[in-house]
Amino acid sequence: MDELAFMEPARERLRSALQQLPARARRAFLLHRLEGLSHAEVAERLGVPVSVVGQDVREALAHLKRAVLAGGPWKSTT
Amino acid sequence: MTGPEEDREPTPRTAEGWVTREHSGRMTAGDRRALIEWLAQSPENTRDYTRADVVWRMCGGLSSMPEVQAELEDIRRSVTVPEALPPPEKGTPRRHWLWLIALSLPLAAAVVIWYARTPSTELVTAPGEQRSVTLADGSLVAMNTDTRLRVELGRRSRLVTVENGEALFQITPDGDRPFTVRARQAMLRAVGTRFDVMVESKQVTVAVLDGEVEVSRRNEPEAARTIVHQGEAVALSGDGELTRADPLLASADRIRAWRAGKLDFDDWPLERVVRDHNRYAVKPIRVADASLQRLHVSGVFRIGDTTALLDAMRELTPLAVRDEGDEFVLVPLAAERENPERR
Repeated sequence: MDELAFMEPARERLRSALQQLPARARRAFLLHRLEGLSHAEVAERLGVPVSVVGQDVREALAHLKRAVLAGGPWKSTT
Repeated sequence: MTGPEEDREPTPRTAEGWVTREHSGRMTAGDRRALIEWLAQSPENTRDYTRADVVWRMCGGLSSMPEVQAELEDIRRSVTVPEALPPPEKGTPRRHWLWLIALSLPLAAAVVIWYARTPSTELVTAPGEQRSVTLADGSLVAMNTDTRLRVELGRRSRLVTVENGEALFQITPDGDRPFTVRARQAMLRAVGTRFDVMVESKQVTVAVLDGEVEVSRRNEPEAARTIVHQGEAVALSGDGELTRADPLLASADRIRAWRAGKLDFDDWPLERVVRDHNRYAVKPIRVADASLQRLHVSGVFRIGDTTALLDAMRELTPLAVRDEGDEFVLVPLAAERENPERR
């Protein structure tokens, strides 16, 4: 009905994309992004090397970006 | 502390690599030069970087989703409660951590002011400015953008008048000296409490985060008197009527966000987003088309970062942005395509 409300679909896509992430990557991303923990602190929490946290956070963001931007009118690269 | 592989992280090669590097707190001067070079390599890099950045900001809004809260709670429980004896608590418990960060943000530079011999002191912030002030009685006043306060601390009373804008009060109890806040028609009496007062034209919104506050009409303290409890909010209109507070303005999330120097919109109507942004901005945003009023948006932005807000609008909504010199105007993308010259 409200064809202008694209932001809400974007948020829904973000939500479902988050659930598609592997558990470790999702946890690393949430702890870093929302709780403000550094990569080193996240690594300690989850018991993985710091380099893995960096990679998880990066790949999580890449996945969420692809999901959020998929299919909208903003996709046209003109 | 860190293994050899973490000592020198490789230079990012992707947009999300750069965005996460920037937020890791490990961005070096060399990285910054490399980023500028990388962005200049192709318009696609710049575009991709903007998108990754927009999504990073959007993710700030994940914290309001119940399943995300549940997962974080899970992690907290599973990791912070060891089976053996708990280790001695180092520093502050995690729960309070974000709030402390908010208090220590550099933009809220704390100032201690002594009023002992000053009958009345005026405190002002400019648009976009925030400031934290510790009063001589130990009470803390955090001032939001474009705010004017008058402070009078006497031997028997403490009075702060909110002439304009918004302030968050954290009151130090003192049985001998009641703490009163005046704003337009509203008079508030507080005892050891934390509450937010916002003046928007003639309306006053009071939201209580801790403790309770007695709200009454300024000239008739016995009339319309009400107690506002923790987690509640009321509004007082220009003619002194008590009304329900606008839930968007009264939300604890909004107050926490501004204290942290952020705008946090969770499904806000576009018109409100723009109005809130404009409180902080030197160059305002205007919504040109009434049909856009129904558009709802979500996101978290740094206060004063108009560019990021407009980027998000461009990327994630069917809106175009026109820079008209003294203001930005939001128009439907379709209208802009059909008739770019239309005013």
